[in-house]
Amino acid sequence: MIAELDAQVALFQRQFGLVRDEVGKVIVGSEEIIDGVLMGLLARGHVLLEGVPGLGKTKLVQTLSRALHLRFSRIQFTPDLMPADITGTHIVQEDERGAKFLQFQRGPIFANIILADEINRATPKTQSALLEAMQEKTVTVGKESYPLELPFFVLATQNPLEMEGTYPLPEAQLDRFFMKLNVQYPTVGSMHTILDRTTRVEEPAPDAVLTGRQILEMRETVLAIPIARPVQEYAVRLVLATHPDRGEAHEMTRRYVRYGASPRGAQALVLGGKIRALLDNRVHVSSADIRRVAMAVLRHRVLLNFEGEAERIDTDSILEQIIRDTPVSE
Amino acid sequence: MSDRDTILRTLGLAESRIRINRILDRLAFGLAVWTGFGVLVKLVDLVRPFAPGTIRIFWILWFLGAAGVVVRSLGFRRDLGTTAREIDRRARLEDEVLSAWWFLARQKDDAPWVELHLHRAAARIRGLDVGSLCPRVLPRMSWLAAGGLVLLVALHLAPLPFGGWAQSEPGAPPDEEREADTLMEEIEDLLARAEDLEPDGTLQAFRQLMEEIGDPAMSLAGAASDLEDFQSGLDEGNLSTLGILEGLEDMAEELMAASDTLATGEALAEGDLEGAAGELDRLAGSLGDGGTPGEGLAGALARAAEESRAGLEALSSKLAEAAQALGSDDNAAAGEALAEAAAALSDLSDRIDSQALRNQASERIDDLQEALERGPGDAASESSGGEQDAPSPGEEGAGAPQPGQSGAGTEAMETDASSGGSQPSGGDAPPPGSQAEPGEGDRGQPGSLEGAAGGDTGMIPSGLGFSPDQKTGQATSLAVQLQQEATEALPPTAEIPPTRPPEEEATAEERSRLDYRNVPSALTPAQQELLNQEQIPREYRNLIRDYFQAIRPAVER
Repeated sequence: MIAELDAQVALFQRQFGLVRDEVGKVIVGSEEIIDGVLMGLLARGHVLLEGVPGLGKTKLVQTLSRALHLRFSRIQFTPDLMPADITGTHIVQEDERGAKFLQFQRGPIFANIILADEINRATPKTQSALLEAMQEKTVTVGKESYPLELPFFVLATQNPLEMEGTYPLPEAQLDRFFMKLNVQYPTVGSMHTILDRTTRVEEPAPDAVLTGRQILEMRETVLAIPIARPVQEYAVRLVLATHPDRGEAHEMTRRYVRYGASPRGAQALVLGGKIRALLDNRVHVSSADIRRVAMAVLRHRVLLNFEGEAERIDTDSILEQIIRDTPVSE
Repeated sequence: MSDRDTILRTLGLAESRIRINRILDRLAFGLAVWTGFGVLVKLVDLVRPFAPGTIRIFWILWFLGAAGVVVRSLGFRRDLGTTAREIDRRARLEDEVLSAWWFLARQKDDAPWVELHLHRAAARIRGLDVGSLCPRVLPRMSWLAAGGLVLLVALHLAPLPFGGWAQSEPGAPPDEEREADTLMEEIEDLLARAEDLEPDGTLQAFRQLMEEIGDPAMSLAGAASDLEDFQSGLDEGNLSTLGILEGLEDMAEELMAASDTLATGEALAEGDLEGAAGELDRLAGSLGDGGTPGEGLAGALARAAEESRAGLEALSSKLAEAAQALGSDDNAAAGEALAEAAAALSDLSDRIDSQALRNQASERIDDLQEALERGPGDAASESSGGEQDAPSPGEEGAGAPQPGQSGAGTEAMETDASSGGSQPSGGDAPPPGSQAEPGEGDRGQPGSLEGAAGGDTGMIPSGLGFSPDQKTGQATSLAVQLQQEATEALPPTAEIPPTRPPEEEATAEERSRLDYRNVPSALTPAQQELLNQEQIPREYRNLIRDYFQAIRPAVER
């Protein structure tokens, strides 16, 4: 049994590495982002990528979809995008006898990997069309619910809110994202590599290395990893430290935070920690694993209050202090 | 060993080592801080000495606090979870041991993945060297604590040139107080021995007096007065003792006239009362066994019986009875009377010995008074090199010479000789060489008298009490006056035996250049008793002092 489990861990690492390598063929200098996206996929979550245009967010998602034997769908969010444009709608059809009937025409959300490109350019109403699909993995149109095929993974990109023509995502929608990854400018070396790869006749193309079934098996492996209570308590303390009305709240939290992370955030911490442990060839979660994923997992779940917004406090700086000041053990 | 056992055993071993280290660490830290506090207080005590009571309380609190630190440190405990976390931290194991411990101790989960984790953790732990991971280390603070302790002890004991406590421990009694305690013990011992020989209640009285003196309400003057009264009581026995000794000498002469009592008389003349008693007893036995008395025995006994003094009544009476019995040819009755006379003589011996002990006790009381009256400054100056024994104004009687005795320096020498050199203050003996000055040891010479006067003023540069100028010159009639005045303290001149040891006469007339301290005394115990300056009744000492002051040359005044 132990040998089988060891082999399972090794397989997980190998499969993860395969996808990472395939994506890495195209995406340069974003290893952390690639890992984060894959972690979101394996944790049954969704990932929000934020960055100014031109950093390769869309390219990343496209490449990922190519590396997986999964159905890919892209939705370009615009201000005039309607919810039915995402979920689908009933259209009038005529049968052989000429009788007309309504038939549900599936929208682009019915795929395994959804690229919600520039999600914050759509109105909140349209953004909310993703809520049920992201959480329940179903789409309800009218009186009928349609299950989505698993794995279902939403990768949303958004431009910074300072950009014109953007709408902030609703809190409920934000909470459904497993991680929010900030895409940074590539380094000089990475820029050269990008230019080398993208300004020639032949561009590198990733191969599909994982099937949906394999991804589901990897998800099962993640869920099986045990976590000790002292480590889990650390995750809970981190989450509670973001709540301004709790005794465990950090000083920065009390001053600048309106809402802290939900229990969904704690779940994300633990799941992220488990994946980190597996990638590190461990079958136990450590507090270091929790710390490493905490920033990406919590940054979109901590909402600033008026004072924080007015003083332009960065959520990341609050989280850095919380992570630094929260003791591993009580 | 199973994976679980391996993990738990290693955890237990590491916990033990970590706990011991932590206990040592806490112990060293606590003691370092606590010792530093003690050193600080000690340094303050250097500059401004605390009262002994304050220091005593401080030390009690200090030791209690130190004990508290030790107890608190020894009570340190930690659970295995903390130890597991510590191992993870030291071996960079990413909470592996912590998780394993938790799965083992709390969750009791035997899920396959938990088993896999325990298996991996056990394998990792087997590769760990707990000894190097949790080494036994001597905390750095322990050096600080040890240094602090050494410093504290050094400050406590080292004879530093400053600070009142340098010469004595904080809270310990000062020198004069310890000296007084020693003297009290000596006096009590002497009185106890005297009490064994002749019970008269002085020991009990002395103890009561000491209790009264120990009362904080008692003033120094009151204590001195009480001591003087007690001392007078001790000295009272000298008068009767002197009379007894003189009477015994007279008796000795009479007894030596008969062949049977010749040995008795000789023993008496030598002051060997026990020997004389033994001779009498032997004679009594001889008579009781039917022996024939020698010629002149009855007469010798009768004449001896006539030499009665106060205190010799019993002996005289028995001697008279024996003489009377011999006169009536009742040898057996004579023998019984002589046996009783021997017993009386033995009692007299005890009485004289007892008085000698009381005289020594009286000397110690002088010293005790001096110690009590001396301040700390006096004690310090004396101990730091003041070898001269300058009498205080209140003890000028100690410098008063006996008739026929020398001045203060001589007196001190003879006192040392008679008491076995047990003077408590070591400054009494004049330095060698200072005794060879002409006239220094002469009794009755003007130099001696001036020496006594010098003792009164406390200025005795050579330890003898007079300057070279005062020593020169012819003897004046003052010596005669001194003799006349001083003899007021003694029994009538007529009772003084006309025969004096030739050594004394020669010393009186000549000025010996010999260091008399090296001359073995040929005096009988009785004569030594006579020469003992303490035999001067206390009530006469002021008279003698006044006399010496009165006859001091006008230039001196």
